[in-house]
Amino acid sequence: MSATGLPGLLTTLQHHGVFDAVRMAGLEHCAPPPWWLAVLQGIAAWIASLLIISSFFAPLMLLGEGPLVRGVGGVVLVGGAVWLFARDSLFTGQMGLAFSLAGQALLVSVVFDGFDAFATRPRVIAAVGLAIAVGMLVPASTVLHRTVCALLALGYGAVLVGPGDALAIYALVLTAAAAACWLLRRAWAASPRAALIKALAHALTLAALVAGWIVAVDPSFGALLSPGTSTATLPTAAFVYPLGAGIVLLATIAWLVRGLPPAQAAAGIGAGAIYALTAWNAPGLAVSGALLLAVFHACHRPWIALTLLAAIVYLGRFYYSLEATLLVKSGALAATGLVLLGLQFGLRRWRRTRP
Amino acid sequence: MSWTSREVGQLLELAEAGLLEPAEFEQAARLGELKPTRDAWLDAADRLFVFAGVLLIATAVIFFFAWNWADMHRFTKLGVAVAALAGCTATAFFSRPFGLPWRAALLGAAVTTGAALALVGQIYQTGADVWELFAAWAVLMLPFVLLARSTASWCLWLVVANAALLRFISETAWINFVGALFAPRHLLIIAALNVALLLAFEVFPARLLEIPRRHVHRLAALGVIAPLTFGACIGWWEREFLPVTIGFVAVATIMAGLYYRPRRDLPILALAVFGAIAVMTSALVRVLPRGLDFLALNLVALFVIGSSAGAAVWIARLYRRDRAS
Repeated sequence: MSATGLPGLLTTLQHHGVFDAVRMAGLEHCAPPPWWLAVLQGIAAWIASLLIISSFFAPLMLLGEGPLVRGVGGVVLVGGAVWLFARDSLFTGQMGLAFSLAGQALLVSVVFDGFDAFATRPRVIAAVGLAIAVGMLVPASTVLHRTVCALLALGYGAVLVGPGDALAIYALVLTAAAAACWLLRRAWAASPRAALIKALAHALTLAALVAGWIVAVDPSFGALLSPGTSTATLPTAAFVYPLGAGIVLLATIAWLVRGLPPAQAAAGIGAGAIYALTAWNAPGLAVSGALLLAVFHACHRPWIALTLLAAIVYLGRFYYSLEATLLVKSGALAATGLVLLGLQFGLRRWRRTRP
Repeated sequence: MSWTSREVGQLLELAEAGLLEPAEFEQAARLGELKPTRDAWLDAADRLFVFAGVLLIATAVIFFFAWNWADMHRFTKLGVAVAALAGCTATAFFSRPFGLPWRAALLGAAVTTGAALALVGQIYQTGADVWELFAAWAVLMLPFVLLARSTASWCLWLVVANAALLRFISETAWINFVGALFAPRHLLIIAALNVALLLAFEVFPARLLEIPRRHVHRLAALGVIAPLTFGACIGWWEREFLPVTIGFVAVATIMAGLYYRPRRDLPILALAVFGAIAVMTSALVRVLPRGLDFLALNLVALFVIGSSAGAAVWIARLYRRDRAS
């Protein structure tokens, strides 16, 4: 959380009798560090964790190399992670994360021997990995750890779903779920499950954005999720994904404008429909648009910036998409850009005529 | 009353972290709605539509030229490029100086300058290296960036200038891009470029930026600290990297002194401090007498944990003190 202006906010709350001076002092003391400091601390903790894990791996390897040893090692590391998370500090949290990931990798490795298993039994590995990742969401831990576990679970879920139209639909479900999480943030923020839901929201949003790059830009990449499937036989998802992305965008707008006068609501939905149509060949823009609206409604500043950044990265990936020629893509981008400029022009005129 | 979007975000984060009791959260929600105000939506849409619109059209121009339409005469292609550039500059010309359309149009002009250069290289097969394209782009977009005085334009310029330098040194190195970074001279050159930029922004902030933000300063500081830290870490193992180590010590000391008090900037101070921790960790690994065995690895890990925790506590305390004052 950015603590910018936090003292001012706390003073306002105290002024309105939400809490007293003693509680305010405690909250100021508890305020989390700025994000850039957390990133630097996280990097340091990761390095420390890797060093510690490295120091333990050599003795483990001396005991033998087999599923049993890997399984026991995995259980020890995962158990160590749970113990570290209970200490409740940034460093133990980061070390717990590294222990948990290493432990999960060892536990998944119990069900396969050698890397050939990825090609022959991907769904079995994914099912085991999914169960372990979901299991690690349960014990109390940091938001970052739960987010990573949720991301792993969503990745294993993609392997189970397989490539093609099913993957496109899966990506759309992730997008819709991410948007719903952020649109309803006010409702779950104070609930006992808030930390878990927040981690899920982070994971869903990141997965939806990345899935957009894969499904909309590079469908052949989806074949990696199901080795042995020829890319030539894959359904293209050319119709499913743009249509679904547009529907998610329009549903998000409809939810946001539901309390407005009918004319304004219709204008908002109409503008969204035009945008979705012009971005038909670049559906990642509709996905980014839907998520941007949702995170803006949730007032989550880091995700607002990251969603915009993801849209720029999408444009870079979109260049290499084989789904359309560069001329078609150029036309789609130009049309979408013109629609946005037109909307800005219309919005300014409308604001001038309104108080 | 109504909460600002930033305040809403902070209230929600406090509640999610369990720092606000549900009753306190509901009481705060009764003071003002916990969602962006109508004006916040309209202001954000105004900014987003114009910047995203310009960026998408500039990208469309790049895609169009990459299509390399065989039936289109080269003069027509050049005409399209010049028209896009002229459109951006004309928009800026008729806009209020330093307003939103002005800054967005000049950012668009900066991007389309690169597209036009790439087009010239495509049509006339100039044989220019990639670094020359980036260098020419950085030089030719500079007038637009100087006029725009916006953070976005300067960040683009900084990235393009560094890309030109990185491509240049990677083409002169014996082995590609990664190999280029293992030459101490190259690391010093990258750091020197970014030091010069950082100095320029520290000395002439008002002339270079209309809104006094520090994003460009911090990006340039990252461009200084990252290569020097990398080289200084290797410096404990390879003698030829000693100048980089000396450079790191000098720059980190000056930065720590400068950004601790006279020009307080905690993100840059944190970069210098954590860079120093990385270099000291490398030194510790180097001087350990028994190599990286079980005890040594844990000793180094403890050093990393202790030093970075101490640094983080100190910087967080400065941060809270600054915010409270």
